[in-house]
Amino acid sequence: MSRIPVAIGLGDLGLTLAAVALGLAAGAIILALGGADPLSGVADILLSFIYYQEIFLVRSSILVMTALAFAIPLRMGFFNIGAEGQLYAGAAAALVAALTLPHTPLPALLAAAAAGGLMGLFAGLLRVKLNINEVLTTIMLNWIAFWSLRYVVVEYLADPIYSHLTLEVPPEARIPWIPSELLPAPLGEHLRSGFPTIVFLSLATALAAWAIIYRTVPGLRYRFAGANEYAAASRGVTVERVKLASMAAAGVLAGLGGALLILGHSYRIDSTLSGLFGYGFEGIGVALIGRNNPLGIVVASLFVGDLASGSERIQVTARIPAELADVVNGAIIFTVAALSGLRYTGIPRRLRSIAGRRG
Amino acid sequence: MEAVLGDFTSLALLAASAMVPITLASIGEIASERAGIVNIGLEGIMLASAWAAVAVYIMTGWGPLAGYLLGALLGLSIGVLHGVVSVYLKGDQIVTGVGLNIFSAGATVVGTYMLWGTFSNSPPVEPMPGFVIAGVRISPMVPISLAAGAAVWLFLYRTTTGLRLRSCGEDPRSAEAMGVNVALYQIAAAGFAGLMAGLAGAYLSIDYQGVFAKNMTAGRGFIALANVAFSGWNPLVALLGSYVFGFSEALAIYLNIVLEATAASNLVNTIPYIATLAAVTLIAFRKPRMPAWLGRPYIKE
Repeated sequence: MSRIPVAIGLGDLGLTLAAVALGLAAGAIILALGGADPLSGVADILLSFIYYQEIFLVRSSILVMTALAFAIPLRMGFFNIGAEGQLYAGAAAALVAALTLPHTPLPALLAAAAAGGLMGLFAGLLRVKLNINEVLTTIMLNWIAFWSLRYVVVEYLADPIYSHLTLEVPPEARIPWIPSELLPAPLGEHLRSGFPTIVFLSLATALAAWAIIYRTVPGLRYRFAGANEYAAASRGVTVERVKLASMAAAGVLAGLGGALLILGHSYRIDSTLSGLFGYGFEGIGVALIGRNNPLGIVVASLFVGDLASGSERIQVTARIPAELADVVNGAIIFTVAALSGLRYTGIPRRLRSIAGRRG
Repeated sequence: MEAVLGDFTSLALLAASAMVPITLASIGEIASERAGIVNIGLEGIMLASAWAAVAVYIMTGWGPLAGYLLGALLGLSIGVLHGVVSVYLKGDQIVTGVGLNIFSAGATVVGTYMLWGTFSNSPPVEPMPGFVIAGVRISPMVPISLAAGAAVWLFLYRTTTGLRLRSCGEDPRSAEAMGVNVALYQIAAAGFAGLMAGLAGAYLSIDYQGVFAKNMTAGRGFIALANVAFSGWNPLVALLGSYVFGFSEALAIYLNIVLEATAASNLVNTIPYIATLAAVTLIAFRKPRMPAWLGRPYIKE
């Protein structure tokens, strides 16, 4: 079970940093092609967190959730490319629940966890029971969730006044922000609208994930099954159940990411879903840069969140589309994966394939 | 009744146009997977080639064939790169593909903006001259892609080289012992898959939609991957499979016309993806036998 990205250990910080540098170089080349000064452009991107604090903080927080959604099944050898759709499902469920039970954010959070979790579990069941490649099923589910949600948003949740937006999350169901007058002086100066509480919630989630994985018995079973499922099975670990749990947990986390976004930041969904788009795919990069460790993911989310706010900034300053962030992320993901084989020592026992069987 | 029959004929013909990108990408990927290399990046290759084909078409004025050529060349180079990374670096074939897809989605939008100053799409282009059957335009790529499926089947199952290629995907160690240059075969096969996905992308933008639009591949690369499994790695069965997927897409287009862009048309757009999910689920019960060494890096002793 030596899945390659999992095998990347502490000694690979160099490889990861090399991949990040290559990704930024790809971004710099594009900036140069677009007629911008590449060096000052990259500097503008990297320093964006100072000027675009709100985008930076919110983006990083949600990315922690979607990155965990990729990292947790990866240890079991599953590629959950479905965080994108699981986040949509969570956001929609949270909005519907908040409109129905508008007194506290709790029902919305529970609904989002259930919606995302079921989506993850569904892909997990198809994989474990029928051996259907989870990359295919999660991608298809992303598209199904995307179009279904667009239908629901337009048909059932549209705001009568702004037809391209949904109704707002009622005030009591929102996750409140920390008002700027309660913040320490320099921060309060900068963050006029306050500080998003979801930052602490996602940080707590990452810490909890770390504690469960590395400091509890179920976490030990999970790591054992991920390291060698046959050895784990012979010692009484119900591997199949661990695999399903990992996919369900991933869906729950991505769904909660959608809920945090809706309840703690945007309060609405737009009819093209542009406000929800991209978190799931960016999370893959965060997980790989963070080397699938929840604490590493927190650090990596700050970098990728900065990249995202930076590309928003560059769209304004250098007239380069914000999709530049995808170019950098894609280059980083490709490079991390391409170089990961360099430390390869054995043949993976797991057969990766479409509808594959164990070899 | 007459109208319904007429509609069905045009639907069946529209499906023939819609199946082409999936056909091309599928048969390229079958050759690649038969050699043991899986390419999740088909989607990204298609999208990049779709963009490049329109770009060269508009920028040079050399017409659609130049677009096809550049799309194919770009696909080939990305495919060979994927092969080299898989064979020599033993990189993770799944994650590199995911990275490629994300890179491509971003780069094509940035490129569209740089060339045409819009975030969404290129100016429209004139497709190749086709022939018209029952009032529906059929591109020459329809028969060409069907012939390509038959040719790849003949190559894989009726030639010694095809046998050697398949041996790389089944048991590279034995193949090596028999004197087959596994690395060469695998890189060539991965390059071929890239080339076909490149053609698929060029067809999609130049021929099928007459424009490059952001994220226009819309999951077709993954539908092609599903079709490969659905076909049991047989190019002839893959032709049938892509027709089914093409038909589901044509049905969605048809229903969207009928529904005239109401909210329900969003729901109609899920049809191809639900069909794909259903197809891979149904085929799972038949337990197709896949190449034994698929996606595993081959490490020499």
